[in-house]
Amino acid sequence: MERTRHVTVAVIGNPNTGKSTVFNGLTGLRQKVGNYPGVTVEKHTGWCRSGRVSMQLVDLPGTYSLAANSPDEMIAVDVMLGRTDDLPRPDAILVIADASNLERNLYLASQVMELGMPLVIALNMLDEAVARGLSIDPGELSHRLGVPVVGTVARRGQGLDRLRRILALTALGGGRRSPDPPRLPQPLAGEIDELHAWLAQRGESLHHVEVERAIIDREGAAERRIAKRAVDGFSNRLERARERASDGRALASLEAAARYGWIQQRLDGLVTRPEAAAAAFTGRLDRILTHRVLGVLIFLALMVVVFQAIFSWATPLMQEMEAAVARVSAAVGSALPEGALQSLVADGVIAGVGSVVVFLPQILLLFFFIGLLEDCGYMARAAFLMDRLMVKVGLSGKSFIPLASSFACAVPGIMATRTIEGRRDRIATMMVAPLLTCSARLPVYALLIAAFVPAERYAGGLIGVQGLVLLGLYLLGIAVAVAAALVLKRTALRGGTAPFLMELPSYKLPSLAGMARRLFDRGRVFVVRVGTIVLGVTVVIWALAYFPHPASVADRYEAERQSVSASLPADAREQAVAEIDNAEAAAYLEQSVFGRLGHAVEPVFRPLGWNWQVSLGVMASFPAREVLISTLGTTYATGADVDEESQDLRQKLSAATFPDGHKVFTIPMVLGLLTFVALCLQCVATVGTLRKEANSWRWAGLAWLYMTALAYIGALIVFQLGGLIG
Amino acid sequence: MRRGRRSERGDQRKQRAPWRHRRRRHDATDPATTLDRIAPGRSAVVVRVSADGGTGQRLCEMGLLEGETVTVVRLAPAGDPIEIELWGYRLSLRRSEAQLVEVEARGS
Repeated sequence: MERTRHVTVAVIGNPNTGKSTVFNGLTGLRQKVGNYPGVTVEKHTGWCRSGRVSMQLVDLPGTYSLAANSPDEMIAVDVMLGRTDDLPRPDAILVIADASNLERNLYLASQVMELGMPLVIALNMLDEAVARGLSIDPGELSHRLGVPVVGTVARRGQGLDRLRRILALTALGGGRRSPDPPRLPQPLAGEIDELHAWLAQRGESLHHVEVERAIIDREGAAERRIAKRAVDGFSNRLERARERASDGRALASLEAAARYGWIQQRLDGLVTRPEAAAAAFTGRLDRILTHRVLGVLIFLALMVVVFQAIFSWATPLMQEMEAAVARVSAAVGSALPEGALQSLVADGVIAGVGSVVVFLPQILLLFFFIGLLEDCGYMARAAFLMDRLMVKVGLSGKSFIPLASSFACAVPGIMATRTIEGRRDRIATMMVAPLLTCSARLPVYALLIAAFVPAERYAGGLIGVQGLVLLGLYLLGIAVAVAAALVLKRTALRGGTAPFLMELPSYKLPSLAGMARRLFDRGRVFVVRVGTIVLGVTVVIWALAYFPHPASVADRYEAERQSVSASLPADAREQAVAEIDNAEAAAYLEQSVFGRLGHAVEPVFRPLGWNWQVSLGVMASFPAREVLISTLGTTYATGADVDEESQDLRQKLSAATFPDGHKVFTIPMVLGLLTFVALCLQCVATVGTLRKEANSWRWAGLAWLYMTALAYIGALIVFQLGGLIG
Repeated sequence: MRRGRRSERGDQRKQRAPWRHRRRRHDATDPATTLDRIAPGRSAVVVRVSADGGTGQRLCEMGLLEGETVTVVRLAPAGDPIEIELWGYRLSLRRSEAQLVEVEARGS
């Protein structure tokens, strides 16, 4: 009887080798995204079949070498050695190599060979190599390296069937196998062996490769991990081993020289490389795209076009979704009997899910453009152009696109920081991204500016005060982000900047299937992971704003409705009843836990010039900024479904006064409130994304705290100063 | 371990003030210099890489090794980073990182 054999294959390779395309090509739609505990790297697994063999493929992050400075970078070695909890030790390893860059790609392959596991090399992007005039014979390469080599053009689906078969065969232990990895020179090799034995004597069963990494990667992940196991005398033993092995040269240099020497020897005469080696088309395009003047102009123009596209395509879609959510909410509302459940479902759950779903068009469009730029190779050029500027503010050129994306929405921006290799740079970028003015702040700005900032114009109508205030708010976000990045890099994230060393890959046409797949994956991650947190928080806020829902309020307003229905003629009745409904909603809110919280908290916000209604609105909008408008609408009895255009709301706000008669919404107070919204992290989706991308609550919590503190202080300063001046 | 940290701080100092590095004493016949001093369009052969820190290790892994020929393709608009070509591919790195690579200048 035929029995299915199950095997596991780890897939590794340099970045920009088409590894994802190969992975997608092998597994199709049978993929899953998960997490490795303790690191920020995502776990990509997929399945495919060849004959009787069912293969689980694990896609490891793209890397140039197994050298690891952080737990994130160690994950490849961990998975390949079977040290991760939920994955078995792989039965084979698939190394994806770029045929046009064979020397550098084989560096990683030579390290992987030392693991002593069955290995298959996929020589991918063969079509490009041929186009560049390179000719490589996979069969001959296989002979020289002692491992199976399969030529593929994953983009066109070529070679994948053969690859599947050979993978299955290799994983089962069959096939020709005689890899002969490079030998590191003495005394380094000897020191590694001795330290390995020394550790084994003390009960540490490590692989040779782990000890090799511990010695060569100074203060790297391997060293730190062994040190944590508190083996007596380890640090001294390690240091002595390094001194003896070094022989005057740096260990990393010894390793690299040994490996590249081996590579050159194996490839001798095999790769014929014509004079003009680098891709001519890429070179010509780069002459324009990285040109000192033209390159920068094109880059800026591209940014403008992308943002314009996002706003003009996303806005109608978002309006559609808002309308759809409102319809669903109304439908459900009328289907359920009046009461707590109805309110929970209609106002809590649907509104909560709706607030996430409404941003989906914008987020997906951003993911699309970011993915497009990454896949075609332009992203690296953008980082190249912007690096000098970003270094001045303590970040890196690779931070630019994530930060620029945050001007639309911080969630895709934060998720885009995955391409930033240095952990400190990455976290610094994530921590300041929410300070940049995102599109969710704009309705609040629009409402407050239109209602309270005078519509005066200067310079013959060219400069308007309202426009200046809006511009000022954008600049405020940028300025504070810069300051925050600098401070973070000097305190919590102190340490050298990670190397900028970045490959500039050849330009290529992205594969639509690959992009669609990634869009789907990221969209799903957003909706499920972030959506869950948003849902949870909105339900909590709903509960606070609903209970205790006293019957006394219901009775009072019902009585009013009766008297109004009785006394007024039919046409005026509807209007009056609507007004009573709004007043009732306002009364419920004031009576609720949240309302009382607003009253209780008012003294805290009095120095900012806020009354309890504004305090309530700001607190209620901590999950999502736009909620401020609908909450103000409710408390001022204009109904919850107002937007920033509502004249009714504007009037009510202008007329609002404190109990002693003086106005609430004065210019200094409004400017202070705008400053608060500009600097405060009122977005559960962002907090959730921060938590997920940094894989801990610490950074998400810190971001929330520091931004709230900055917002409070900013609003305080603006209001008090404004009071002194105006 | 201490040696490593000192080198890292040295890297940091160089990164903070990339322009204010010590000028190498030049012998009239000695074309030895560092990669960041090579003009666009010209090539050089790597003599040595200061590989003590993490950056040095990455440089070696990417193929900047003794005896390799490297060509400087261009500088970014602001003068930093640099784009170089080696082993048939293009790499960009900051001037402060290129300073770690001692090279011997060649023609273009």
